[in-house]
Amino acid sequence: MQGIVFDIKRYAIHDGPGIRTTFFFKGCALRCRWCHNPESQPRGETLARQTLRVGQREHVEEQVIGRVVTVEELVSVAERDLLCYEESGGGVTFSGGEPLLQDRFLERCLERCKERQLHTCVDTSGAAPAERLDEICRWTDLFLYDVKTMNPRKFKMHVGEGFEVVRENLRRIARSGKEIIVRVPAIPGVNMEWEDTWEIVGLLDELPVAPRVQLLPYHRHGIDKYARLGRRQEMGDTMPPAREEIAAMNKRFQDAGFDTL
Amino acid sequence: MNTSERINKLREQSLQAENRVSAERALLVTEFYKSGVADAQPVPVQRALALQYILENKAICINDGELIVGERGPAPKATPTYPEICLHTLRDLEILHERPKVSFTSDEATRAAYRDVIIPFWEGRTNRDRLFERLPDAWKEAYNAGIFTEFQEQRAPGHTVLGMKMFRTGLLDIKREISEAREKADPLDPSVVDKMEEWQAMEIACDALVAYAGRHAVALDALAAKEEDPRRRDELERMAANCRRVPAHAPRTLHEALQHYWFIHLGVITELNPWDSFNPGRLDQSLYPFYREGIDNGTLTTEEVHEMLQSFWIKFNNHPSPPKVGVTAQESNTYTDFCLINLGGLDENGADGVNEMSYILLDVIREMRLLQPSSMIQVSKKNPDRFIRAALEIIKTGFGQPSVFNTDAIIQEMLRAGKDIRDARRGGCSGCVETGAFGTEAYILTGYFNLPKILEVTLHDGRDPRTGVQVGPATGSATSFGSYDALFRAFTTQVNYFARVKIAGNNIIERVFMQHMPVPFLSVLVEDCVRNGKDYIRGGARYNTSYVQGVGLGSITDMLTAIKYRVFDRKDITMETLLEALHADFAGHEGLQRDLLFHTPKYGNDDDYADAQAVAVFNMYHDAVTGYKSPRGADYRVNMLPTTCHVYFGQVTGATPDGRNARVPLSEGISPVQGSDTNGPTAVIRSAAKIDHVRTGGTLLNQKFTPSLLDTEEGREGVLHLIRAYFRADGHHVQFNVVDARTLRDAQLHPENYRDLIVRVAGYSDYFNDLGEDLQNEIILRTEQTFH
Repeated sequence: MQGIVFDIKRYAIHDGPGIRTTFFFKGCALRCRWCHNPESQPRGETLARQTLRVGQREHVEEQVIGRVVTVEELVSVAERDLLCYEESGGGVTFSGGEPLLQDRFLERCLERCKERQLHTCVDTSGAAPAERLDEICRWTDLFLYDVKTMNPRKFKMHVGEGFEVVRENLRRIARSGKEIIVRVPAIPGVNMEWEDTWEIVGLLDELPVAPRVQLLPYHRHGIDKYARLGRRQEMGDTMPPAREEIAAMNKRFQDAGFDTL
Repeated sequence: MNTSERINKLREQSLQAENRVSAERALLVTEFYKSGVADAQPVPVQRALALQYILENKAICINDGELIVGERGPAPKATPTYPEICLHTLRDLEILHERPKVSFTSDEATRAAYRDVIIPFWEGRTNRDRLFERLPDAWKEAYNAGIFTEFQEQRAPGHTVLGMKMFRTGLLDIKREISEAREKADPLDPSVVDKMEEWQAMEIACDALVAYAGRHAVALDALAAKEEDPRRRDELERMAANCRRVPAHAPRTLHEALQHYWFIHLGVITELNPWDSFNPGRLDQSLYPFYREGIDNGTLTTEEVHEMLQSFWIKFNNHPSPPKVGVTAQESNTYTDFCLINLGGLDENGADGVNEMSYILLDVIREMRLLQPSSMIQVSKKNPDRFIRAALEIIKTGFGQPSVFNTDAIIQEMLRAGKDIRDARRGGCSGCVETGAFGTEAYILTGYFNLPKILEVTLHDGRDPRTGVQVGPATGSATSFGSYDALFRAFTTQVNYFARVKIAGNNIIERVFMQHMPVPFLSVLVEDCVRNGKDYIRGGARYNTSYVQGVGLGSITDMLTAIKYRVFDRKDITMETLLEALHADFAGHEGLQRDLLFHTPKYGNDDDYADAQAVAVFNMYHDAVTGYKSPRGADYRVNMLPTTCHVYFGQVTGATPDGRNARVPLSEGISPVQGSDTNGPTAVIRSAAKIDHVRTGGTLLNQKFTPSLLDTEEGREGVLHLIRAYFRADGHHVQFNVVDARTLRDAQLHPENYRDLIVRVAGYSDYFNDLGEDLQNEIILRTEQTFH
């Protein structure tokens, strides 16, 4: 069975516990304005411009983003850093794009990884129908679940379609009893007011076990990618939030009874 | 802990002191040999008497406020020369004086001494003259082509480290051992004459050091008598007492132990200029009992411990390594003396060797932030993570210390080389990454070996394309190789040929040193020279090894991989086209160069296709060197480290099939080619661990990290686990350069603002400002690599 990934990152230390290998699945239903991996959004291959420097000379080439891999290929890459996982309590993370969009492929990858005793983590926005979600839960040790906003109007304006699916999938995963870390991107001007927090807390309060919450402050590292893809970036000159603003937002989650990372 | 005002002053004095050439030692040794007093004596006795003459007559230097005394020259950074080994010309002195980087100034008196006394006496009769007289043409041709270098060409073969035993032994104890050995000697043993000579020389050397310490005691007494501050007066009196106690007797206190070592250190580096790195070895374990006792019986405070150790640290930094002669005087800018202090690891019984002193010494390293001594931590699976974390707190500040070594691999390496398990556990690494049994082994580095250059020669049927000289055997033109295997066989033939030329030359050189340059004082320190009545240089040590250091594993792997991939497997270019592009230095072949650089498998990415060549080259190189014996009975072995030689070797090597332009530095150690590892650090360690480190005497892996990666606890934990994983896979060593490229660029533009910027070079750290521009650029390139 095959899937399509747009990047594989080894020595990933921010995508779950320990040292991990993160597989970035290609294709995403959402169009978050702040997305730092815009090349991940289209489902098929994407072309980008890349500049290679040799001494003073620059070579501009077309780069194909997106690579078809089999389950076996993916798992053989995942296994290469086994010693690092064992030393650090790390493992494999499936991110994207949106991994749940390739739910059958994801399920097989997870199953193979668990057979090989690797710790598995799925980093998802939940915005996919995901018929196989219950099976996926079975083979997943930890979910990193992105919740950007729980305001239907803002969701539609900044993120796209899928508000209800995101809510429903989070409830389904929570019912499976698997550990969840809810990750909230902190985007100035979008979701950093107290009402925004309060709306997210409303959803989290429904869950049988309170998840931990991690804020991901907006950054501009992906800005230049838009030009390489021939796209316009939509964040203007929005700057990353100040440390104090992040602390205040964390405090609101803590006051609502959630542990933050 | 804050450093005291006087330590700050001493540190500042050391940092500000100008390197200068001191003619003191050269004049004394000239006077000695000129006088003819020792002409009738056997060579070892002559050498011991020469040392004695120097130590009796050299100036005594005591710096204000210091707690440990003794300088090799008349003042900090006044650096002696060794005309019996190699002779500086007046032109050398000028070059050293004028060159912009790491200059050694010389005043008119020094030049006059050279002109009128030193040069007239030694011209044509130095050890260097003897070597070049005897070395065959094949050796000289390969040497001139840059296929290998030679360490002993202007240095004495030293490279050993003091064992822990000497921290519990006085030189008078050694003299007693000598008397006992002499009494037991069989007068009809055919080698007894040589033994008697050596023992006599050793005794003279011991006496010379004891008397030298005594001269310091007298000078300290005089200072004490004049001192008005009662606290300093007490201190000076105590220091005078120390100098009467050590190194004659075993030290009893921490202060005595440090002074004891320091006199021994001075003895070794005054006797000859042993390239390089004599150092106190496992300092945390050696000092711990003195520290423990002092704290427990209330005679030491923690503040005093820090101050003594800081004062000790500064002594090392006062001693740059002696300046070179000839063309290397112009080119070489490596003048640290490569003292590498080992912390952590195991004790001799195999238990966790980390103690309180290990952590205190880490503090001192951070407080002093000096180039010398350099430092490393040994990490065994038995050492706790918190020890590594403490080291990472210093590593993250970006001055390249401490580097990190795998004790469990080092011990395997030594066991494989036939050492006793307890001797192996007492050992570690010195210089850059070289494995040795401390206090019991003479492990001598003989020179670097340019593997990429040999492939270039192979592609030209044994000719050096830079000069047109036929330096190697004719193994067929490049276009005649019908397969990759045929090419590799020709390359193997060439490597074996040059290994034999190198080793044959080494043996000649070693024989000259054995005959003319014994080192009775160093022999006193290294077991079993006393028992054997045999000099360190003549095979008296318990273990004897000679290393040939392979350079450019990353480059040679990528070169072979490019040929295999492009010419033989995919067949998208012909060998003719490739050679044409190399001869043109890729001018007009930019598309091909881009494909070779960016679209060809590279070592360092955990790509089995590329890494297979690394394993094959390593095994072949290992087999080409290993198995030969040297005249003193040493085993030839390999290690993989470059110091700065990858820059020189790059300069003599034309464009290469991996897309590298002519004259650009080669890769260093076993690190990937600069900028070619794009899969992150786990892929680098996986690639690096595919070669068998246990069959080496050390490998060097440089990892570059941007400061942000070590800023957070999460980031440091990642590095900790990375180290553990690499070491589980038997990796020998890893070091970290933690400084961003922007800082380095700015330092190139505004060196005046970065006088204290220290970077990791290759197995050692150096001031960024002191590095040549090539090396600076190479380090910037290395540093720019970040994770995707």
